[in-house]
Amino acid sequence: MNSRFTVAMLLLALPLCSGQVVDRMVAVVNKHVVLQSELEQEVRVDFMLRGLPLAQATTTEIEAMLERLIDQSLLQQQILATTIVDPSAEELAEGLRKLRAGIPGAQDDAPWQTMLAAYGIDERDVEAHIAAQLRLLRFIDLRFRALTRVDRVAVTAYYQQEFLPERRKQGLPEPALADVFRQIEALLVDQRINSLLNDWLATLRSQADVRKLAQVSGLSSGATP
Amino acid sequence: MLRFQPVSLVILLAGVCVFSARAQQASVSSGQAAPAHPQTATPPTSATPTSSTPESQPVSSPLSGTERPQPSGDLNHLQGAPVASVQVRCESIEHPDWLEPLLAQKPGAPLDKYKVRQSVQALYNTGRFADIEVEAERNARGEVALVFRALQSYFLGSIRVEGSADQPTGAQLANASKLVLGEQFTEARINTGTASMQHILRQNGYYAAQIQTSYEWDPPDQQVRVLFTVARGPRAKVGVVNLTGTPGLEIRQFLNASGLEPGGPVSTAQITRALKRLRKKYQKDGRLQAQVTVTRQDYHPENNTLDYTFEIVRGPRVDVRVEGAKLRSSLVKKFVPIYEENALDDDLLNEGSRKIRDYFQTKGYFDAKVSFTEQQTPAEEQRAVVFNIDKGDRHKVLDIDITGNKYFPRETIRERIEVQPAGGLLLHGVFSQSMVARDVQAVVDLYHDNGFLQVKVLPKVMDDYQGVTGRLKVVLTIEEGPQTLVGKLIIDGNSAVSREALREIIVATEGQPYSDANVANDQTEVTNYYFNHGFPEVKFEAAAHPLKDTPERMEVTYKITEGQPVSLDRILVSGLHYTKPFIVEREEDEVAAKQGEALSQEKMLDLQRRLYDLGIFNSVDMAVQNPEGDATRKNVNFQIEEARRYTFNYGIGFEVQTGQPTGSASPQGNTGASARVSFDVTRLNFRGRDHTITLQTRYGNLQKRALISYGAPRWWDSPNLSLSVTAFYDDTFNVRTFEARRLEGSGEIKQTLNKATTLLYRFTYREVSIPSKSLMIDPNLIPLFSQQVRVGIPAFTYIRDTRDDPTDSHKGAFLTLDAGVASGIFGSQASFSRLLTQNSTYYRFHKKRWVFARSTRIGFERPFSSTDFIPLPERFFAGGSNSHRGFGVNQAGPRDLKTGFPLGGEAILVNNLELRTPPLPLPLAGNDLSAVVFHDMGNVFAKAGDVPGSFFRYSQPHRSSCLAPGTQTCSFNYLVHAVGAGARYRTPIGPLSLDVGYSLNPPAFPVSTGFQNLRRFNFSFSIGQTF
Repeated sequence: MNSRFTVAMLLLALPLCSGQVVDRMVAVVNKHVVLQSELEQEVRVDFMLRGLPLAQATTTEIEAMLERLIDQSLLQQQILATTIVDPSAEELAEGLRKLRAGIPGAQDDAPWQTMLAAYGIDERDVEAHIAAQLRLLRFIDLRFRALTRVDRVAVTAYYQQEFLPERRKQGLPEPALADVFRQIEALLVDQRINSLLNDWLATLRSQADVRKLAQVSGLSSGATP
Repeated sequence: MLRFQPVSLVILLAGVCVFSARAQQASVSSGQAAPAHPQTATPPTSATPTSSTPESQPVSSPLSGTERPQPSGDLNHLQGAPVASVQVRCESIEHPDWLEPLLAQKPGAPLDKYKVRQSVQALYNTGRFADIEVEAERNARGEVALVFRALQSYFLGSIRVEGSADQPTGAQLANASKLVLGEQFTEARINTGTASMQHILRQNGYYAAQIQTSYEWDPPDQQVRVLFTVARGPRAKVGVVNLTGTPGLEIRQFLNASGLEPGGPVSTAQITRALKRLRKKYQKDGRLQAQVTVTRQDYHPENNTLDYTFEIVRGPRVDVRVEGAKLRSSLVKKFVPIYEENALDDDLLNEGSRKIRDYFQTKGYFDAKVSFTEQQTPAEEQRAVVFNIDKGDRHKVLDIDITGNKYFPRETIRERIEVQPAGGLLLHGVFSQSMVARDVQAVVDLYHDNGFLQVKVLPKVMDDYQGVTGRLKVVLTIEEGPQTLVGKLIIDGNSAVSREALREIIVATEGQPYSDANVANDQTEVTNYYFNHGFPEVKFEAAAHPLKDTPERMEVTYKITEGQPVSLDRILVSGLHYTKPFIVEREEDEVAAKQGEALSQEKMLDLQRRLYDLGIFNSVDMAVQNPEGDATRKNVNFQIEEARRYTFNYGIGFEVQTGQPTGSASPQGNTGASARVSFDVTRLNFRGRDHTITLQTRYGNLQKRALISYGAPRWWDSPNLSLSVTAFYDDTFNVRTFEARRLEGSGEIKQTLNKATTLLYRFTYREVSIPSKSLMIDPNLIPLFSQQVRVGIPAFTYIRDTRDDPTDSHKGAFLTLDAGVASGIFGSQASFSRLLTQNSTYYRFHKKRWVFARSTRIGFERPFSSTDFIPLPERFFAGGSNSHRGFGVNQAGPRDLKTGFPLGGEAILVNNLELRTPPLPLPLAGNDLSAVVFHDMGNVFAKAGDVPGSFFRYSQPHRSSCLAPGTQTCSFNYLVHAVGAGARYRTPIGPLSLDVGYSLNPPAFPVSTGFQNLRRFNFSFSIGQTF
């Protein structure tokens, strides 16, 4: 990997003698443009968060990321101009702190910066990623949580039909329903939100004008850590 | 430790899930396949217009489709590099400088990839580009030169369909394609449009139809003209017809009832007709709930036939009866909607009950009650619906009283009330409870619209009023409450338009009544103003709240978000084949649609209207190119379809009136009809201009005519001048005395001074002959009257017309003054001067529903030089539906004392007074029938000097000597008075008129067999009002 990184740096250091294409459109979602650089940035952030080397980024994964960006764009367009879901600077800082805490070796600044450079991104890119995710999460929560009700019957059914059999299978003790009621309820609510979101996304997709301009391939040269 | 089944909560948000469970995988399933890249069709990259079909042209854009190169560098790694320059390049845009302010990435600033992305988005938002790439080049100093290389979008510049002349026509197919002029071209849209057209073609039986699409690319204007060429092929034939369900019919009976025939042509209209006939048949059998549907259509390409499967559920027989009162079955069908809806439920029956009740209430049975009962006998498939009517006593609306109104006069409120008191033809008045409720709401709305937000209208219906059984009085008591006025108006957000300009169009200014209606009106006015000044994205928000200390005064705030101004780039016209382009450009200049000016909705609509008004185009479709883009300069598309240049009209007509000249030797003519056939040819778009040549021919008992005319509007390029040149041969027998053969040529210049005033300058040259065999007058007068006369006469006409509707005037005035001199100087064999003037005025009164109309016509002719007579065809004649209704056609004035035939005269005076009623409330007539009563007065005089002495003369002078045998003197110098009445039936081409006039003092005159009195009664039937 080190040799690849060296080559990449050398490539970067070379002057762009004649005009080179450095970015291009890869998709248009209604009127929102998704650029190659944006797609690559998301792949790099994603791989860093998952602790995977960028060399493992396959075309399939990049295409999957493009689909995810298209879905995110569809949802962002639904948020419109509302600012009520925008995270504050403190929330962003807290999000970044938590994120770094979850990545081994990222708590200290020096290794963190080295890691970012290795993935070809900077802290602003990670913050942008966190901000976008927080906005979407809040919007989804606002839109769907109020609509989602899980009654006692559903919780009891899950407890008896899913939870207890799984515990028995694994030979674990069986807690009383009252002890796990809230957790099961939260889980069922999340399941329901997930289902509603998927349905809604399918509807948005069917109504949207989504145009992919070219097949995506591997990441750009010089970007491999 | 708890463990749950794995759940991908919000699977979309893989990154966020890392917060709690780093290993959780993201997996978003792709939705439907995205549409193909639009530019894979055929758009060229050269700046020259080209034509192509999808099959014939390869992908040629370096940016388009799968040939797009993978970026060789990475924007992420140029972050922070100094930027030396930023440019936009697009082959079709010669001066892309106007785009550079849109770019967030500026030269001189370090490269910021987020700003580069914003720049790409901003360029894309203009709608002008389909694809954008970012190129970078380093210079020796290590700075980066950024280039945004853009591939233009294409927009639909015209959408034409050829090859389908009749049902479905090209226009219907283009409409079905849902392709919209000016919108962005994409292959997906074209494919969808083609599929929609195929669907319509199949519906019409053209299952083997082929549609070929071809494109004409116009890179400089970023538009593509799309032509669909349809080859319809043979129409499919009806194959096998299958029946399912409970039709209760054999297949032969079904085919007879539906009108469908195996082997017959397939069409949607035929199926619709078949379904209608079947439903009607079942309805006739009392099966009101019968459901007839086509459930399958199977096409067999091998023999081009279409099999149909009909499902019929005929349902039970429904017997609808009315008890308690008589009601015609046609009215039951009209009021009870089960017949229309083919369904039977309580809602429909309740609606039927309400309508029956309303019907009886309008007949004076204001207490009418209607209920219904249903009975069903399942075994016999029978249902019965019985409407029970309790009419109650008959009432009469004596009066409607309105009290408490201060702000509005009673008449203003009364105009909005449907309830009518008895009177005239309304023997019982008009009343129902629902009507009263509607009236109350109408009055409340009136007050609300004028700021009386707390108004209350309390209706009270007093039965047996003043102790008389059945008498009703309706009282509406109005509690107006305080009027809310606008205390303060705040206009916010405007920068391109001044507050003063906005205040001029706003109603809800300080001191004016506050109402939702006024605010809505202001919203419309303000947004229209902005639309017309190039702000298509303007937004308007209104808020209002009471002022602190004066709650009856509102503080109104109008917040305007102007949006980006949009200016006109170019007007792109398509569809001109024969018409010279300057004809359209001239109209563009007229509406001042200039490049760089604000894109005005009003101007574009005005231009569209003007192009229609040229009369040479069948359709003019207008659309803004790139409607969804944020571009600040936009083109406007005009797709024009030229009208057929040659049109042929033919027709048969007739006139009915008294005094028909033909077929009788009687001086007064016959009462009867005269037939007429006509054939016209019109050539529009003459020499590629809005000039017209017309050939008109008429052949009838009264008239034989061949006319050719040339019309050139906008003469000398002036919108106020038009030229017409006419030549015709005319053989007319509309004057009982003679038949005139006229060969005439004339040229006329029309000058429109303003909307009401027009001047005509005319030179007429005609030669009129009267065949001696057609002359009915004393042979001694020959050749005085019958000799061929050539007349050359220049004339001038002044017209001032302020009438609201020339064919059925209610207000305004009409004045004409026509003067001409015929002289040898102009090649005339007869020398005389002529002056004819008409003045008509119209007055509305009594709630502007009645009309009083008056008209006076005065004309004089005078021979001069060596001429001592006016040739017979040049003399004045009067009488008939358009002048004096106390006479038959052209029967007024002096007569030949031997034969009794009219001779016309050198002076005319006719005065008409007419009272026109509002529409009469008669059954079946709706609001279309009205009546007139009239008084016509006047006559035609031998000499102009005879008029003053005749003015106050009521009876024919020296009548007894006139009637003496062998008399040589007879005077007609008096005014004939006639009274009469008529009916008017409103039609789209003007009212049909039937008038009956009664002459109070008709003249008598000698004839060879003694003497005659002109008939007193005359009637006429025509189109249009008398004047």
